[in-house]
Formats: sequence, structure tokens, C-alpha cells
Amino acid sequence: MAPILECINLGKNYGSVPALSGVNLQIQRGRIVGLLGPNGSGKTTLIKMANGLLTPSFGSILIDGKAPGVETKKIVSYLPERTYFNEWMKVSYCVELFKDFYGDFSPETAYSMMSALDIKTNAAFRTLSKGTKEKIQLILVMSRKASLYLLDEPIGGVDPAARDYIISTIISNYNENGTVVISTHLIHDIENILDYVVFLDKGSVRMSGSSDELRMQSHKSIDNMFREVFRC
Amino acid sequence: MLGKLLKHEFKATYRVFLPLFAALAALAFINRLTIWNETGMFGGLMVFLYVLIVIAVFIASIIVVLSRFYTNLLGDEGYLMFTLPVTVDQNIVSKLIAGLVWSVASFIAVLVSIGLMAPAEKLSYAIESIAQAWKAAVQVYPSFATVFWAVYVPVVIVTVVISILQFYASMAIGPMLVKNRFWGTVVAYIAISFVNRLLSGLIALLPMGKYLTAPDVLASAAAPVSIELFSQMMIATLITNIAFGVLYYFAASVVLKKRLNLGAGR
Repeated sequence: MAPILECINLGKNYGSVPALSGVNLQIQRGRIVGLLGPNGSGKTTLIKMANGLLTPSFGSILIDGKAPGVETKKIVSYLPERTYFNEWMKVSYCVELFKDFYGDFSPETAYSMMSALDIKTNAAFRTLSKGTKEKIQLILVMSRKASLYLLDEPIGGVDPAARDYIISTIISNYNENGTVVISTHLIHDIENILDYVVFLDKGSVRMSGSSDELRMQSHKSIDNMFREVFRC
Repeated sequence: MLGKLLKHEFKATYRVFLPLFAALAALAFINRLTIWNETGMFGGLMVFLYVLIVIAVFIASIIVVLSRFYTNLLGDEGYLMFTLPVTVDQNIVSKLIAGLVWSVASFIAVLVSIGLMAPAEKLSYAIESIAQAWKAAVQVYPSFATVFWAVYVPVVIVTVVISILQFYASMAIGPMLVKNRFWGTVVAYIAISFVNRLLSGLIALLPMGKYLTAPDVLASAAAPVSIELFSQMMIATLITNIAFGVLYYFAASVVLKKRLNLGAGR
């Protein structure tokens, strides 16, 4: 079985500025993976290429052995780092939209999570706070039974209480055979749930491995390792 | 999937057009009551507002065509549209169909509103005049009806489709020419327009060629000759434009498939 996500000498330049330079990476199924790195290390670039939103400058990226396309989009659930819903849309409309296009989406799951977070489903997007918008997008993305979840900074903009709920949502809702990739620099909050970590630095993989092994080898928490590796 | 994309495309756009069409109908109706009587300032204001709404309807159809591609596909909303399990072609075609439908609907809405303004007898007089002009044209040039439906109407529709596709191609290619997405689009649009006008202008002149040796026929401008010549020029324009339209479509589609770079550089 092909790894769920594989990068082969993957690179991306923005003009003459390299954002990702020759990344080789294999991510297996059924794991929660932390894609960790400081701002500008290439996390978002990598995730956007996995979704076909950016074209690689060289190398390739494969999802379930296939280049990004209609087939991979059916099995990838992506949370971008920005809001992509229109201001006039009602929350219930966004649910309908997901239901129309994604066969693995469960509206019941989405509505039950929304009611747990007191989100009014007849509210228009323009009336919601930034944090609420982020919660809604995350709920929609996690209400799919996808093979690969790509979450770009899912906890960056929300308050700590909601952060806990979101993290528990991620753990309890993801498909058991699925893989969740979480990009973040807020490592402390998610360290406990990560099975595997990838440290990105200036567009290359600095270090990767199972979180338990890395902790055993260094006798440090992932958070502390991160602080050491990326000390300014 | 195309059907679902269309459904959401219309849901996103009808919100702009229905209020405009309603305002158009309302103002046409008010004008029907005021325009034929002495109502002074109020009547003048209503005519002015009506004209404004007509302009707004046409501007709206252009802006909707532009923004559904520029912001819904190439802006932040593209993060959703390009991660739905649909093909690039389905995305483009759904926007093209919706754009065409709204452009034609806007045109028909304005025509209907003009009809709404006229009292019954004036309206029937106008319809009768059009019918007579039609009959006269058929008398002089027997195949006028066929030509009208088979050439003139398709030319108009194809022209709308091609104008939309030219916008799409410019928006897709633009960011590859100039780093700023907006100015790239403007530059691409101007460059493409120039080439298009030049070529289609030259090709449209081709049917005139055979009259160049017999200038007196053209000069006499007998109706059958000029209608025939006009139709031939229309067909030449139609064929060139279709070729350009195909080219525009492929340009937009290939760029979005092979060179998509959402959010990179602005």
C-alpha cells in the first residue's frame, strides 16, 4: 500500500525565492502527524501543493500514490489557513455545499458539533467572529471520513477553551485509518496527541520521526526540542 | 458534478440579479404611468432612475462574470473551489454557463421592461412595425429568416461566450506576465484584444474580395447584395471568433491545470 502522503525531491520557488527545496517525506496511514516549523519554513506551501493549489517547481507530491487531482480531492479533507466562504453564506448553506460535493461528509456530525459550540446555523458568515468562522471550517473539515486530513494552523486563532474542544474533536472524529497532518508552531497544545513529527526549516526537513522515539532519544519534550532546534 | 456546481453558481449570483430585475420592472411600471403624462420633475427623475438601472443591469452582468472567476476561483474562495472533487473544466464551464445565462437574461429583462413602459396600443404598434420590417426584409432577400436564426442570433450568443472566455483567459494568463494579479489581467486583456481585433477585422474583410473586381455592384448597394455580403462577413467573423474562443478556453484551462499558484505573489 502506497504511503498516504509522499514527497519526492519536492521543491517550490516563488520567483527566485525558494520556499521548499528538495523535500523527501513519507507519511503512513492511521497517524496524527505534526508538521512543525517556524513561520516561513514551508509548511503552508507543502500543504497547498498536496491540494493542487500550487504547482511544484520540481519533484513530485503523491497522495495515495496519485498526483493531486479529482481522485485525491475525494479523500483529502483540507483546512486552509484562511476563510474561504463567502460573507453572504449562511452556516447551513456551507453544510449543504459540503454535503453536495463530498460523499464522505456527515451533516449530522457537523450539526452536533456546531450545537456543542453554540454556533447558530442560520447566521450569515459576515455576522460571525473570526474565531467562529475558523471553528465552522474546522467542524466541516472534520465531519468528513477522509483518508488524509491536512489542517493548516487549525488552532491558531481560537481561544484556549475552544482549542481543547477542537483538539478532542480531531482525536475523536478522525477516521481510524486516516492520517491527520497538523501544521502549527503552537506545539505545546498538541504535543500529546502527535504520533509522528516533521520539523521543517527553511524549506527542508530538519528532522522527522515518531514522537516517542524522538522524546526517548533526547530526553526532551517535542516542544523543548523545537525551541532548541529553532533557537534564534 | 457540473449540475451541482451550476446550482451553487446560480445561488451565488441570483442574489445580485433578482433585486436589479425587480427594480427594473418597478421603475418601468412607474414610467408607464408617468412618461406619457405631464408629471414634471417626478417623471424626469423616474426616467433618469430607469436609465441608471438599465446601466446597472449591464454593468452587473459584466462584474459578476469577472468576479466569479477572479475572486471565486483565483481568490481566497478558490481554496474551496479547487479542493472540491471536480475538474478544472467543470469549474470553468459552470461559470461560463451561468455568465451566459445572466447576460442573456439581463438583455431580455431590459427588453421586457421597455415593453412594460408602453401602453397597450403603442406596444402593439411597435410590434407591428417590427413585423413589417421583417416582412420587407424577407421580400427583398427570401432567406432572411433562415440567415437571421442561423447566423445573426448565433453570432450574438457566440460573441457573448467569447467575450466571457477572453476575460477568463486574461485572468488566467495575467499573473504570469506581471506579478501583480490585477495589472497582469489588464495587460493580458489589452494584448489579447489587440490581436483578436486585428485578425478578425482582416478576416471579416475577405468576403468583400470578390466585389473588389466589380466595385459598381457594391456601389449600387442593392439590398440583396448588401444583405448577402453582410451575412458572409458575419459568418467570417463567427468562424474567427469561434477559433479565438476555443483558444481562450484552452489557455484558461491549461493554466489552471498546469500552472495554478493560488495566493502566490500579488
